[in-house]
Amino acid sequence: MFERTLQDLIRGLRAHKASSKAAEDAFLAEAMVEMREELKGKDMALKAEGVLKMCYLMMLYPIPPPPGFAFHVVEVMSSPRYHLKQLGYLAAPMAFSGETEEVVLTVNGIKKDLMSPHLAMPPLPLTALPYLLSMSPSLANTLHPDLLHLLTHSSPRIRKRAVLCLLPCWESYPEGLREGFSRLRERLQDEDQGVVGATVGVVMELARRQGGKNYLPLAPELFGILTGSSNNWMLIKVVKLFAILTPLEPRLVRKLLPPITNLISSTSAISLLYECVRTCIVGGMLDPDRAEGEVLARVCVEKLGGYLRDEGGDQNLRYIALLAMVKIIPTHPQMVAEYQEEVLQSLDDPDVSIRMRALELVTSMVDQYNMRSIVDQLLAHLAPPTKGSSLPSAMASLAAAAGGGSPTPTTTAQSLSLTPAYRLLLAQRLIGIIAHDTYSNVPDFEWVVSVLIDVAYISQVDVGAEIKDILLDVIGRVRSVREYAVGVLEDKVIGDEEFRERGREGTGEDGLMEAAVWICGEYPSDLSSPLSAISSILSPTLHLSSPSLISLSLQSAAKIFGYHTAEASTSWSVDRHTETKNLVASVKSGVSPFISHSDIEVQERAAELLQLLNFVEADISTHVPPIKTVNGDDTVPGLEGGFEAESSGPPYPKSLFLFQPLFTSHELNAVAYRAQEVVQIPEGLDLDREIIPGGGFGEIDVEEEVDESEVEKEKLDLGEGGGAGMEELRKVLREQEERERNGKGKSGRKKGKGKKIEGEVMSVEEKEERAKRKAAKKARAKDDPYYLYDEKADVDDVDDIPIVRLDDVDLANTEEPQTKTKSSRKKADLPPSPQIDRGELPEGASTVLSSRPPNTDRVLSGLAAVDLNDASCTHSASRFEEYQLDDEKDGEQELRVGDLPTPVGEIQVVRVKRKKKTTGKKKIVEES
Amino acid sequence: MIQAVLIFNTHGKPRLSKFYTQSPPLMQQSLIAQIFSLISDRPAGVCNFLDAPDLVFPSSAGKGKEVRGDDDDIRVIYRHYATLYFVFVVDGAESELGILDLIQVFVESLDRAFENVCELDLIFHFDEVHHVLSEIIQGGLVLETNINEISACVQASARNRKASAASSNPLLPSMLTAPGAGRSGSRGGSADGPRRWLAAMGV
Repeated sequence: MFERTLQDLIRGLRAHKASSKAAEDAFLAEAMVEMREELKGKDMALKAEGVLKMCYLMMLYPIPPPPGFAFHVVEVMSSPRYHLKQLGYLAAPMAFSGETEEVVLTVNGIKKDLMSPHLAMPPLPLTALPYLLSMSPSLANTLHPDLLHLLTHSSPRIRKRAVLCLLPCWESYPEGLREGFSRLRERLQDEDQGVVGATVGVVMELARRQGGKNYLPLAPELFGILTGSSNNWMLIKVVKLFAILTPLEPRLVRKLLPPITNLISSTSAISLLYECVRTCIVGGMLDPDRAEGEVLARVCVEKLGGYLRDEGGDQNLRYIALLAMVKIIPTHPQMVAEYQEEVLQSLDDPDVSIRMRALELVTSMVDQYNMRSIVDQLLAHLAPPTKGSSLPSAMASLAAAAGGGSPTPTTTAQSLSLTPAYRLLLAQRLIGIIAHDTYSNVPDFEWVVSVLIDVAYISQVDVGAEIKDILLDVIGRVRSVREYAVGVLEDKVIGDEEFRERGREGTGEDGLMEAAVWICGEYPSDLSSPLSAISSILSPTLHLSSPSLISLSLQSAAKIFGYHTAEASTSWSVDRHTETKNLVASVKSGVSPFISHSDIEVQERAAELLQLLNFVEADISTHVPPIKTVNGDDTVPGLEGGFEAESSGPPYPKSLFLFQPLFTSHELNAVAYRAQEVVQIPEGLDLDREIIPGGGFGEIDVEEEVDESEVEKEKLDLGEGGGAGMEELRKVLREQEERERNGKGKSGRKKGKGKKIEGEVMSVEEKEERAKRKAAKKARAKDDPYYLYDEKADVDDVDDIPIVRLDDVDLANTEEPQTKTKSSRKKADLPPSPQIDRGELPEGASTVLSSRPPNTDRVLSGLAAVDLNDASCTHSASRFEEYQLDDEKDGEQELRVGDLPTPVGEIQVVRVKRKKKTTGKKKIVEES
Repeated sequence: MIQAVLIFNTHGKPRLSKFYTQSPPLMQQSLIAQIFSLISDRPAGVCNFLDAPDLVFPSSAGKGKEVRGDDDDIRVIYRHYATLYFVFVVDGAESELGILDLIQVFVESLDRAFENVCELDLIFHFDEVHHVLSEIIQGGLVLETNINEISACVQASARNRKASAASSNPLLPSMLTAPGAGRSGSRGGSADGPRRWLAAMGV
């Protein structure tokens, strides 16, 4: 068979590429088949060649490696031949993914190579190891000792490779850091500069990942390197490392200042100089409290400004100068402000990278005084390169003209308009500048409104949501701007059919349109002409817009209509009458198409509005002109309640006031930041307490108890208050308590029986009392929408009936002799579980309690029956709970059997027992 | 650290791609395509830092290990040589200008390894480029910046490869020794070969 080398493969690919795509694909497929054969074959050299070719193809094409590729790579890695092994290690990062078994296979081979006496061998695994280690914690764990061993290898080439491997190793095996840290530290003083450089790099990465704290102790060594080394790369690294360390240890600053200022003044390498400046800035060395800090800041800013000014010079320097200036702004804004002109010029740079940096810098430079000019400049960037008549806003054309005056107008504008992402960023930054810190820098809000409108008009990117938010926010907060805003929006936006059309493409315009519609609806008193506003809001092309805009428009139209009719009533006349009639008709015709709109929200609003309009229309049409002052409302059937009250009505149809109160009864004001925190929590309101213990579901015993005891306390405190939820709580509570008492009153063994008896023994008074309570409770529950027991409570003796039935079924299934035979007794037996508690839960719990203790002798079988029972009818939430309680009781009682004597007095007993019970619980927990 | 080293030509064809962070191959290719389309749009004479709003790093979404969230300062730094772009994707631990110098070092090392390197060298010696790179960067961290040291290492490695390949060349030794081994006593066999040949000629 002819064997293709990598070179042949590449040649073939290039030859076939020239011909056609199909030929290339065919060639590729053929090559893949060959490669698969080679990989499977026995010949190691061929296999290695196959691996190499596969890697090459994987770089070029999105082809997955053939199955078992990783195994072949492992084989090649284990070849004794240097050149084959190297190919194997080269391919390893591409072949392995995640902690697969192939990695396990490699461990021994890698170990052997690492420890090879041959100097050329260890570097091979070390090149591939970073990737493998970061992928496989187990490998990192296994190889960690070997790497530490290599740190003292005689060859510096191997030492530095081993140092670099420590970073990924410790990343996936963090325990190793503790053991190896001192060894790494030793490498900082290695006699070979390459090893030191590698070590500094590793420390740098570690400090970045962990924060610098752990690496402060290395400061002396690093300081030594800073003052002693002449390798720029290493110096840069050390200087950058100090930028991480100094914020943690301010004393370092004083120590570092001399060498760093020395470097700044002496070095010829701009990269190093720049990093020194940057470290001064980032590392907090420019503290204005210190005299030398101010001087240093001046030096730094001047250096950066020099880079920035250097027109014919290096673009890279301008870029990094902008980059660094952003960092210096927080401490020394006034120094940077001196370069405002250069920064603004950079905004016009043909290079997007520089523009991006300049944009960021400008954003942080904005203050009250320069805001207008900066925003205008940004607007100029957004403006389309050809400012045609389509620009409706004076501000925008002004801005565009200003942009035209800048040095590189055409290139800038054109390249800008090419990238929508940049435009989006620009628009967002613009909005961000305005909104920054709740408009603290804004000099004039009318200007803000017009800028926002301009942005929407010219941005052509999707910033609609942002514009809408900020516009509504501004209008809501600033009363004085409302009139202006409504006027402008009414004029420029709502009536602009072309703009409406553009908005349908999902760009920024739609947001502005929504905001405009909402604002005009919300503040109709500032409209110059409500009638024309309504007609432009309900524009004939409205049905093409987005559903949210349509529903907003319907709502706004209704608001304006309401306002207008209310206004009209003040000067009601025959003219008004016909005018209003026409208005109603036109609004109706505008709204009616949306009755069958596909969006449900639109549909609903349209239907509601239309009904109201129908009513108004009927009212107006039957209204007799004002001279006669006859009540015109009486013909409207069905709505007489509100309108027929007085006999002598006003001179206008009352339905004119139908709409307005719907929208204006509450004014919405902006809520201050942190306003919620100021609100005092009312006395007795505990926000952390659960309304229904356990969230309505069964819970673990321990939790249940906590709830219980809390609630109990509260019962004592709060008595009857708290509403339905509380009622529920209290009920459950008492029920438990009662049960508790029952159980405790008896000797534990006999509790079940006690219940039975209790049911039977129920006295006449008790029953009466029960009925009374039930009635009272029903009355209470009637108003409670959350009350679920209503229906059952209607039936007189429901307490017993359903349960008995269920019980029977259940018992039949469970074949428990005792319960089966006594099913008639069961009836009496069961009520104590959920129902009884509910019915009997008293305000005066004590009376019930006092009646209980006597029924003390119970049988355990009864308890068992209750359990079953509850389990079988867990459909209602209350039973769920009960089930839980029974369970709990079960445990308690067993516990109590030993250590609890019979109670002495009723009420005290409850408390005592509760305590004991909980301690008992704890014991159980401890034991288990 | 350095996240990736890429070389592609002015048509966007990758000549070398080495990712030091784990990311799926498809993401790597989409990143290359993205960077290429952005870089190729940039006019001459602009700065060497690629900073574009529509540049997203698929790798940063994919792994979450390196990305710490606080600074998204992943930078693309590139240099343009003849028909090739050399692109380094780095994070904030690297000095921007330092990386520019490093790219220069890489190119010079390639130049020494190939003697007047051109794109064809990189195409046909895909593996060799990787070997050179592995002498400069290991696992995303800079191993060596001294060109002399780098090329010494590259040469040593190349010598080792040559020696190893020569000793194990499947053609030369096996073709020659295998028939000899077939005939028992290759030494004697080869020695009397000519004699037999002469005998066959009737001498």
